[in-house]
Amino acid sequence: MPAVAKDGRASALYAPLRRRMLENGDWDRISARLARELNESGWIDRFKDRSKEMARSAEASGGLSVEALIAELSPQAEGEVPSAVRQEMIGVICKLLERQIEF
Amino acid sequence: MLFEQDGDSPRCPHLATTLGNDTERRALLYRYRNIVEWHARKSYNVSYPSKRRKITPPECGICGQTLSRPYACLHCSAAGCWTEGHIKQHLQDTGHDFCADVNSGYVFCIECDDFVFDGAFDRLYKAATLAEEEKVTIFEVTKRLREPFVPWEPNAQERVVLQSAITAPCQGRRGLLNLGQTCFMNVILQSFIANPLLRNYYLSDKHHHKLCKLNHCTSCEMDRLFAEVYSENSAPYGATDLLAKTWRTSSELSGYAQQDAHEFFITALNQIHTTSRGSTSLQCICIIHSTFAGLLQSDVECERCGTVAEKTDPMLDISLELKGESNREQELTLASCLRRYTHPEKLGPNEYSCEKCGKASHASKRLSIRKLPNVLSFQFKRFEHKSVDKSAARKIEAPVRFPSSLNMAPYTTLVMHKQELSKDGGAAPPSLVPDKALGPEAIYDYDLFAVVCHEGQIDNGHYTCYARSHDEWYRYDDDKVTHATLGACLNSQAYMCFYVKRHLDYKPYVTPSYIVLREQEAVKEKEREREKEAARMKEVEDELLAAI
Repeated sequence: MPAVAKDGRASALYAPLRRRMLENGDWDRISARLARELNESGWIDRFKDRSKEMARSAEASGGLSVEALIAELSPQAEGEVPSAVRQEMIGVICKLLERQIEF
Repeated sequence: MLFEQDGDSPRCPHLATTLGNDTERRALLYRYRNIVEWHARKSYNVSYPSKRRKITPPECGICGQTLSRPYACLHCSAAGCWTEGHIKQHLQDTGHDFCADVNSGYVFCIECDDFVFDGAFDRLYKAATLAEEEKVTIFEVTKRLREPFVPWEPNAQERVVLQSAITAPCQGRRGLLNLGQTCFMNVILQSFIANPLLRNYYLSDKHHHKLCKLNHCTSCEMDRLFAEVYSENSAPYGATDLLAKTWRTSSELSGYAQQDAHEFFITALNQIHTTSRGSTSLQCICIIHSTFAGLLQSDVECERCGTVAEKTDPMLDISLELKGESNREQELTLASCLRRYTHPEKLGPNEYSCEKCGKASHASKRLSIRKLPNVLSFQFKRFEHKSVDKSAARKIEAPVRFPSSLNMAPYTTLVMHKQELSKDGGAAPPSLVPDKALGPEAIYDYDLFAVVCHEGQIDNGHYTCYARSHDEWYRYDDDKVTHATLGACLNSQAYMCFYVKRHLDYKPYVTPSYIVLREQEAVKEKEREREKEAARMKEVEDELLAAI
């Protein structure tokens, strides 16, 4: 989960906004779009390969649990999201929020 | 079930115990199925939103947060979040063992403290997801739903045959000897061997070389090739007969000089087509066309009067231009090549004369894929032939990035037409497929299974290929076969890529033509026997009469 801003108004809005996005499907649609963008940029294949090979090389020494794999790879995964994709998704989310909140 | 033995895969012992108990097994799988169906329906509803239907996402039983990625207990109706550890807490508190990640269907065992794989859940996940997809796929022509998939189970007769069958250990992977600059042929043959539709055709004896009566039959050579590869012999194989047949039928490819793999690919397809059953010049249903043939549509729009002339052409593969990428910063990807391929192209004033308004006019032409083939073959045009003299050509070295799975919806005619009609981008376009009637998205999914690579210069280069066997990738360098990774494959400089459609399209409730033919043949055979018997009886009677 991304860090939530500490100022009162934003954190109070977060939970109900999130709920609304989940209820009307916006969350899932944006999630699907992010997955498509990441696939096209090769990010998904890269981490599919990296995690598989990491798990494979750990077989000999008892294996790696999924949680350990995620813990190991998450920082890389977040860091390697292409900035273009990041910017685009932020734009999509902003546009959606603009329609729903009065700033 | 005879084939679904999971003896080899390490199983979570706790799962083994639970699944061993009939009541518990049924309850577990029932709950799991419901979870998978819920998720499939939700994904579909999200893609085609309607104001009437609101999704009620579950809440975490412990913190109350609306769950974007719910984990469901497989023993009771509890759901929880993963990141705060609440689903694990539920399992620990109640003594329940298993929960599932609703999005992916992966099962977690609290005792093992890890996600565990089990064939039973994997099969159920696939079956339940497919069943939901079938319910929402409407056939354009008949307006009927898809025929529900039923996994094959051997009947009593078949069971007997299977039990007495001798199983031969084989890898299904063999290197191919280089018979003198024949790496161009070897890589294409490896792509054929890795091709599931071709493999199934030949391994199920649909074209048996011992029964075929044709001379110089290339299809028979393919049958022999598959028999050799799927044998106990894993030493490299020399496809000498195939090479000889190729030389005999295509003089341009003969001789020991380096040839173009793509040329060989097209030549081989045509040769196999002419020597296979069902081969016709129009609407051919031979194995090659059933596997590789698609339809390309070109729409030419006259800018003066707006009429659009549609024309369709059959195609066996797609050749993508690489040169002329104006923006050198941008990486070349398969998707960007496809976008370029389907982008409207301006035709000069003298290139087109509109039928409707009768004058030579400015027009724009747009290509799209009308019918997707079961196996999609891409060629990246790396070799620019400056003149007829092949040695004067230049090679484009730029690597092209391609994905391990590809959705072709945006490049198909029907989807492109629909997108043009509704020109709003929207905050988040709901789905790759804009209209329910053209979906679901899954029917446009393809998976990469073979990649042909070329290193070096045009006349002094070497072909190698990567091919997938289940989920493992292997590198084929003539006779040398080595285990490789997905990463190595995707980072190679591809010349050709082969994708296979994840879901094949069938006409619902139709008996396959070869079974109909077989039954007709059986009836004719019986007729013939009866006539022979009658003639014999007549002869005997005549002899008796003559004797009297």
